[in-house]
Amino acid sequence: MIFLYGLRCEGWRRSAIIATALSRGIHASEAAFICLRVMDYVVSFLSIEFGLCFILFFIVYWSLCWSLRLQNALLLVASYALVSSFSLESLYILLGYTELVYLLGLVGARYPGRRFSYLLVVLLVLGFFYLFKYQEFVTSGVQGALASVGVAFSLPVLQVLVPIGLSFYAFHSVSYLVSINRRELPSASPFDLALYLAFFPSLIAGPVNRAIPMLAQIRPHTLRQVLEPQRAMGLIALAVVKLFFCSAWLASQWVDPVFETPGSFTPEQMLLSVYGYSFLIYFNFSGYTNLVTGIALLLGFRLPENFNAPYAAHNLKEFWARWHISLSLFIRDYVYIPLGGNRHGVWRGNLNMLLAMLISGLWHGASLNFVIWGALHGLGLAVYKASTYLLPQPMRWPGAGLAARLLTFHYVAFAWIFFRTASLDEAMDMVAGIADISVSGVFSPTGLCLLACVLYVAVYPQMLALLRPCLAATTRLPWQFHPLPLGVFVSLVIFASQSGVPGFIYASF
Amino acid sequence: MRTHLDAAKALYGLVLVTVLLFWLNQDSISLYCQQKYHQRCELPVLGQSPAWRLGGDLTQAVGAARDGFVQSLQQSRVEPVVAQVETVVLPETMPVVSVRVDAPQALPAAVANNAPPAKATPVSAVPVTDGIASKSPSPVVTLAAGDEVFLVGDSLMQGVAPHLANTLRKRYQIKSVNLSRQSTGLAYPGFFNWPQTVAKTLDSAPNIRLMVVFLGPNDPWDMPQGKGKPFLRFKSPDWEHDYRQRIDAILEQAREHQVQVIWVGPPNMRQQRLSSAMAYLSGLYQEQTTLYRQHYLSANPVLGYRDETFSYTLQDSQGKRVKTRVDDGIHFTIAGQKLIADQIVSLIAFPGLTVPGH
Repeated sequence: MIFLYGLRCEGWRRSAIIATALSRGIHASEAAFICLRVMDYVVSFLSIEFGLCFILFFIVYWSLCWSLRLQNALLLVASYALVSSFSLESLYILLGYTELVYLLGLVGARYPGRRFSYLLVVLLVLGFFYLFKYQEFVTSGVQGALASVGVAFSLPVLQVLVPIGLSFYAFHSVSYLVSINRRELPSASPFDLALYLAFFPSLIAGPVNRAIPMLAQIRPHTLRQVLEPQRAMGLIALAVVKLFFCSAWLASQWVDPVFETPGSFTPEQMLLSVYGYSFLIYFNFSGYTNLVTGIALLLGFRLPENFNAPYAAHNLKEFWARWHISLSLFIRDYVYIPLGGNRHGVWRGNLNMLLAMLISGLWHGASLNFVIWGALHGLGLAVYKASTYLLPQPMRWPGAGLAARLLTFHYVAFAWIFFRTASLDEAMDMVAGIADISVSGVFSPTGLCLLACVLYVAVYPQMLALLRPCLAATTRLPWQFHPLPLGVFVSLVIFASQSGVPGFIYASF
Repeated sequence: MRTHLDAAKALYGLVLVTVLLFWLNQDSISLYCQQKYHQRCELPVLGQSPAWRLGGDLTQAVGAARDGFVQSLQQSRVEPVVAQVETVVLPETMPVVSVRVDAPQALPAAVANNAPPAKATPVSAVPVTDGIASKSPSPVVTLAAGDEVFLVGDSLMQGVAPHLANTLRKRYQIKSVNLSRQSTGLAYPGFFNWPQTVAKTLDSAPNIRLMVVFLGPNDPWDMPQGKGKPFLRFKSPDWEHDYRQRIDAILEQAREHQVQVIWVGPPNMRQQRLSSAMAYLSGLYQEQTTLYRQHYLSANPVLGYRDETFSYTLQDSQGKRVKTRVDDGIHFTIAGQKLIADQIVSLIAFPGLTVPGH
């Protein structure tokens, strides 16, 4: 089920994400974990090993359904085992972090809403982020800036590894501590808190959980149930389609070769690779979210919604309400609004939005390109907001909706160039290459593919309207027969896919 | 009670789907298991039963049908083009010119073709010497305008290849064919067959004049020698014999197509066991490459390693320490990848090819 990676060997090119991560020099224990056999102790949600272990885990977990405490203990052990399979250091850091969050929770409950309570939260999160994720980025930036004004100064850099899941459990902890400070939540028991921070389905690459709904599920009033088992398995099958078939194919055929050596390709092929990457990152990340949502449902947990057809958005604001929803809401509630939101006039509101998007960009990775990506979205949002003053909303002229969607898609795709490339130079190479596009080049086989991409975005809402009822219909099959068509369908997908499995891009963040 | 029933229903679904997938994908799974766990992966009893085998056979048959369909479709599309090409004979009659004009070790192509290499005597372990890499290496291979470079390897090469390909293209307008893919090597041809891939690629891309090979960390394991036979033990004489043959198969293809080879030996690794295995494999690569009068480059001196040392960092000329390896102790950081790519480029001469902007 949740496995079958590296199964077929013929006709396979390369797995996008590992290569991406490796070529970016991203931390190996996060990115390269399915690359080499020498690292086979590591677990991936898409491995045969994980699939088999999960079935065993499922049996033990539900045979303990009479005791929430035992189920939680089992979940915690499994989560810690997963973390330690990446590295023991990651586990120690998570344990240390959990302890600090617990202590700060007690402080917050004792002195709720006090300035120093919030200050401690900020210090904790920034301290961990700086130490484990942004040290090199910050020190080299500061040193570079000082060097440019003639000051040679060397900041100490501690060689530490990026702990797996830090980006996500740090955000989980913010939600928990802020809720305590707002008196919305009492401080949790250390055990519940530990599970909230380490809950394995959402530990590695989200979604970003909120403390109130999640702690309520960790300590529910009634016994836990398997939630919507048929939908859960359908989601996992959907993940296989998106990850094995769609994103792996796009990566090897359209995206990776071009992004690696842009100059060897025509402007049309470069544009196609940008379209391809826009689809790829959606399939990859939303497929991964489907996978962990399915796993969580099978364990009796509901994770927050993370994607809702983002390329059907008519503007950037709507895009962020549809893309990585749990992160957008987090940034809105814990960065944008605390900065002042739009309460202090238009300029300040736009500045806050830009800052929030820059932080979101930086959160995705410690590099200038992610900052630029965030800035592009911040600027785009500001421009959109300004346009709403000039153009009455919603626009009613024929084709306005389609034009708005295509414009939004193209702006988002343009920003993805900075997200995908490792350096500004590489991004500019791509942009410059695409700028050379000519009318004659569009009338080529690649031009047809470009047209197909634009058409795909154009008819996307209609396609969704057709597909969604079909997916819903499959869950209405009798439970006795449901697995058979599902199994055959997944086999067909695997058969049609190239072998080798994409990782999931967000594991690197 | 209801909870148990719901869980049982879900379990039924999970198990049924899993069994179905295993049944249909048994051949792939067994290969994957072999490649990953280095042992025969057959289900006891059930594995031999005809009903179980039927699943694997079904998938094979569907696969064969698909391949046949694709092949016949391609043939019907290619035929008119072939007919056209046959009428235009000019390019075919052009003599193939060897471009290895300044490679002192390289024999003329005709001589090389007639002289099969001497059979190597198996060695149990070969200490890695610094190879041909030095601080200021002189070019050993030559490329001319229109030549292409073929990049072969595993995830080590996947990291290095983009830098290499970019430099070659930007500075010299040389194209590359990068087929590197992770988890591959020479020990598990059932999983991925490099000699075959090399042969196919060289046949289909006649402009390739240089092949750069960089692999190894996926290979230091016992390897299968055929259905029903026991695995060959790593470093045993039989293992070594088979492994050398596979290196030779790649080098032989290069010789037949008059392609120059730079074989990059994997560097020391953080894990002692893996590191010494790399030293052993490097010995084999170096010996076979030398036998074929091709070029061997050890990655060790590039990263500043002497003998069996390993370090995550390298001190550069300004005394600053640069991180060259990522934390797994196997792969390279971007800086490490670039160092190796630059070293490879420095071994190539480009007579007559100008460097834009220099």
